[in-house]
Amino acid sequence: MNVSVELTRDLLKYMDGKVGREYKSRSEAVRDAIRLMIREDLRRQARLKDVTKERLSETRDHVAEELLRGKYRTYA
Amino acid sequence: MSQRNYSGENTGHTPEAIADTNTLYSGILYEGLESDLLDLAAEGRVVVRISEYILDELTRVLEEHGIRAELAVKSMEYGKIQVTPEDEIRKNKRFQEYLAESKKLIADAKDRPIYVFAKLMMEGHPNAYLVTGDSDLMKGDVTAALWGRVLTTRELIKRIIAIP
Repeated sequence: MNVSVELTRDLLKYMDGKVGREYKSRSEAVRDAIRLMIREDLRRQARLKDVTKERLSETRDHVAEELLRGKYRTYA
Repeated sequence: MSQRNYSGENTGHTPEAIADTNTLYSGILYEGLESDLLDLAAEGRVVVRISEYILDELTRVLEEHGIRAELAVKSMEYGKIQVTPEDEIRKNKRFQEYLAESKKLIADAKDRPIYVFAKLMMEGHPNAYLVTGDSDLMKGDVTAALWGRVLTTRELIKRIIAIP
């Protein structure tokens, strides 16, 4: 989908400095910028909910048990 | 970027990382080496592959903590992470052999799907590695069965950045 966005001269200069080195096109640079925005959103959610790696690991144990009793029981 | 279909045709020399659930959620939710690995995937310097099982685990774990899993899926999509459907994995002619092998080698059943997936994806592809910090998957007999190609995230990143 094509969209048009307005950027300041400085922002455009910054982005174009990356195009050709890190990205093949401005579109690819914008897609990656959105990926990083999403990641930051997810990290903020994890911080606010105090979700640590240890808590995720504990949750993973019982989620895996459920999956191995259902759709993935062939692995059990 | 290196691309290959599930039957195993490799058309490039880009390293491939078979990521486990811990590697994936660490990379998505926290700063650190796993996050750097996902950035390298977005740049096309490594292909990160996961199975449908890993995706199912990840989305359910995030949902249980009230984190929007659909955003994580979008992030992976934009980050060029490749997801292999479970039915494709099970169609592979060596699936049953590797499944049986996983049951002999790995006591913790939740590590078997990643073992089978990794072995199928790594077979005949010397640039593909299982990336994990799981001590059960890093045991000598498991590593040997995976042709010694089990790396930590740090070890894989060192290899990637050594490639000009």
